[in-house]
Amino acid sequence: MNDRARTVLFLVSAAAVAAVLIEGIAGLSPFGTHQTAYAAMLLRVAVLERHVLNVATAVNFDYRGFDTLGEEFILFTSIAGVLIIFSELRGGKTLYPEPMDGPADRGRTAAIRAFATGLAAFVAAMGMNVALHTSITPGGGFQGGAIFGSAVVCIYLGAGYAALDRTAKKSLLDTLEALGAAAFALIGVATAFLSGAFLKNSLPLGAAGSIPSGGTIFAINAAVFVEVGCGFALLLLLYLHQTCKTEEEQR
Amino acid sequence: MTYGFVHHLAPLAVAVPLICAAALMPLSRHLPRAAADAIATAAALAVTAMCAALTIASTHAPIVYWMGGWVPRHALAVGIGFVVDPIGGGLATLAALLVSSALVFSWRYFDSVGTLFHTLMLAFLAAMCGFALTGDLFNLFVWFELMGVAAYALTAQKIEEPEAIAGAINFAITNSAGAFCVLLGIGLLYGRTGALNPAQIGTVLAQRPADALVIVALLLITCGFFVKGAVMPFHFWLDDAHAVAPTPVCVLFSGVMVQLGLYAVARIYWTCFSPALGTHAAAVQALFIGVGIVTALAGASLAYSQSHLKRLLAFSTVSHSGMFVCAIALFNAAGAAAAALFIAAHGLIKSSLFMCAGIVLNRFKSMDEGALHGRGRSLPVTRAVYFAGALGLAGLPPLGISAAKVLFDASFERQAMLWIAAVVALASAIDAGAVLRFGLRVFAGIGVRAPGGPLPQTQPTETRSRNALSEKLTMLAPAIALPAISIWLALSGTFVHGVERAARLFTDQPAYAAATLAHRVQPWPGTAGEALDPSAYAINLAVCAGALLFALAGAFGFRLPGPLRAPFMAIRRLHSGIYVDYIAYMMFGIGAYGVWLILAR
Amino acid sequence: MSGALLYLPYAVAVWLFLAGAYGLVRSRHLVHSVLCLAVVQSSTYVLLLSIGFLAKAGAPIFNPPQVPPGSRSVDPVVQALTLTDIVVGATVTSLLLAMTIQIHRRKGTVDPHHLRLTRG
Repeated sequence: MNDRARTVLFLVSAAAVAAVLIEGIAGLSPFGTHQTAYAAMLLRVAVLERHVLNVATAVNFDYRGFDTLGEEFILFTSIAGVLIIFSELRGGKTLYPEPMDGPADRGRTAAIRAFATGLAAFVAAMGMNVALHTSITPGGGFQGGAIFGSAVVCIYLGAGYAALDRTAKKSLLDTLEALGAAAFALIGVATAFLSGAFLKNSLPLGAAGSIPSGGTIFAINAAVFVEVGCGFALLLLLYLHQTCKTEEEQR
Repeated sequence: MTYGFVHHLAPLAVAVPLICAAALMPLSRHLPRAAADAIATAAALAVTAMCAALTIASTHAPIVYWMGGWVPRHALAVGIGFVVDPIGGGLATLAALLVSSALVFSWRYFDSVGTLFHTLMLAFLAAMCGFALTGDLFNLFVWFELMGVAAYALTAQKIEEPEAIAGAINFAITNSAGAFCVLLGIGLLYGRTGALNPAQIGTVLAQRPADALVIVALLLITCGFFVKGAVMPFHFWLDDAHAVAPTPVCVLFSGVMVQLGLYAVARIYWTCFSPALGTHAAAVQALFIGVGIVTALAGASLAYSQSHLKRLLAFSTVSHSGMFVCAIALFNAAGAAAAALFIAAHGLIKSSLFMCAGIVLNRFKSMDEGALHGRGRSLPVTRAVYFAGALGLAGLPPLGISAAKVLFDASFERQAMLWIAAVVALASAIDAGAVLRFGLRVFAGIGVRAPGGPLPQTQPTETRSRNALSEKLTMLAPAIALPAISIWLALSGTFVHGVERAARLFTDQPAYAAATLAHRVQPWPGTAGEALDPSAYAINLAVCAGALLFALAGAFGFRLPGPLRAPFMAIRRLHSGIYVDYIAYMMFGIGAYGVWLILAR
Repeated sequence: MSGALLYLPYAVAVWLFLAGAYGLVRSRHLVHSVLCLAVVQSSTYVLLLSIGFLAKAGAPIFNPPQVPPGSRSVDPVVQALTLTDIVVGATVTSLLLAMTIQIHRRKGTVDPHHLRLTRG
């Protein structure tokens, strides 16, 4: 289709779709006026039942924990996909590309390296902090893991790709990531046979407002943190490596 | 609520392949290929057994499993439930069976493959099982996305070929857009009913007549799932993906993944919308039938115009999607039974055809009808399996589709809509004729050589000559076993009656709601089924004859008459290979469907 | 707020959906397309979160004694759904961007119009 025909087709169709969708959303309750029975019930019972002050966490890891299991494996699968796309096939095995010096590895002073290392340590600690406070603040395993993974970028900026590659072993990262993902599913299997239902919360619940509260919510959260943290670190490593390859090809 | 061992199989069917997928990823560097093959195949076979057990157990009473032990309170669903009925369980079993077969096929098909392939296949399997077994709308979306991500990565397997990646990008963008449509629809339903559980949604929606919001939610969910289900005009991604994906992956796409999209439409229609729609149902039915017929005929014709075998088979899948939609559109148990049996038989036979295509591709490195003319004569067993499959697509007894077609025709006859069955029969004939034509030219050397390039040069390697026989055995065994299973299913009166009974349960919304929300899991009532009328098979033979006619005509160079050619080629050109066009067509589809549904209510 | 303005957030969701799709249709660069897809996805975030909003309500995180359990809060369920949705979006984006890099490496272009698959 040529550009003009396609744009005309799209605009006419979009006008029709807009009209239809507006007609549909007019049937919703006005903004801010209605709370569903599901939400009202969960807000009422979550703290009592699970000793968790962050109700969204309780929903994510307990009431609707099975969705989160699927979501973590979506992350896992997409990282496997990125690995395949960036990998090189040598001798029948998928291997990681060889490390090499990146574009701006030259010219970094010791001060920059020290500062970046400190920053990376701080960011990693921040990530762990966010993940630990899942039951009492708007944090959680996924959020903390994402912050933790970005410590990789700090090291890259301060010390260059080769140094990063020496510090963060890809093989360790992908093993930990797989372990985190499998741990979540294994918690489910264990609770299925030991306490009667898949992902049933049967660990001691702790006191509401303390860090180790929520029973399996805390355990699952830890598994998710490990998976997401290592997964994002691995993903960033793979992308940063591509900058080296591009530089290599341009030389 | 205490669950027996069989009940626990429901989440295990999803958790086991996920755990194996996770385990295989770090082990991929240390395990030899054979070990990874063995683990993955064993896991897939175990899941097949689990799903089969679940399906059989669910024929007595639905299996309702609440994750986390969160049972509903006062008819309000608190957690996520798995609701296994024979149709959902049957689809999960089909998915697991096809994944096992594809993994066995890939033992010798791939000269070398990273073990991440096995991780992706197992994740794909877990997602399909979760999708078929779940009883929660958002959970359905989550497994839909996992299915998608695994499929995009599997399509891009051959990373050295830029075409593979381009095909994967088209696939990913269109299917993601479809998934977001579905989520918008789910959001609308949640806003109206406050529930994500389909039984609860259906109960709440039934309390007042359906208004525009309900229609728009139906529109968005249907269009989103029709993208996956390859119904026109949302189907354009399918032939791109099939052309570039490796054969074991094509087996899964055409065998069960596309059909799962249609299953979702049917399931959501029955559980959420059917009690509420009332008079609007006629407009929806008219839309589905119109779309189904156009998809069936156009898909078959486009298949006939292809000379690349995988694209030909992909368009055949599109055509069959149209036929499944026609059957679902009857909105009764007979139609659902016909669709279910047809999907099962089609999945088995189409997979076998793709495996034959894979064997040819492996041997000659080409899928072009012209280049391969007559070459298939050196693959005698593959030739026999291919022709059996092609005639099976036309409905030759005793292969599975014949019984499905009998049910299909009978269900339309009872509604006095026999003309639809006639149109579908024509589409089947053209479609099977296309597959047969390819077979006549390539495997039998009959007919005029199609225009096409020469065969790519293949250097005979030492490994190929040494392993030639075993290569064909592990690739042929699943290709033969699957249609054999379809024969057994068609001839087994128990199975056909089981499907009819399962369809009656599938379309029984009050029983579904009672089982899930009110803990009233009562055994399904047993009712006697009717025997299939043997004289109805005569129509199948007529379709086969028609297919043979189309095949011979095509093999000897039949071309469309002038006035028909130009519009047909214009439709063919619409399949441009870039996603920017596909998104425009998708918006056109949503707009056209939407305007019809809003105006016709 | 009155009348039609009360439906504005939902209309924003519709606008985002259509605007993102328009960007996809007019796209000449794969990275631009991936980001347009993200815009389409953000329409789902806006719709879900707007449905869950409750006027004069706080976040569903309680902090006794200032915010005791049982205080008026917005919907936690849609927040959990949106979190999952965000993860899904991030993962698909990362996969698509990896494919983009690989295509650029093999074909030297990221214009979708130059990446047409050959027809059969």
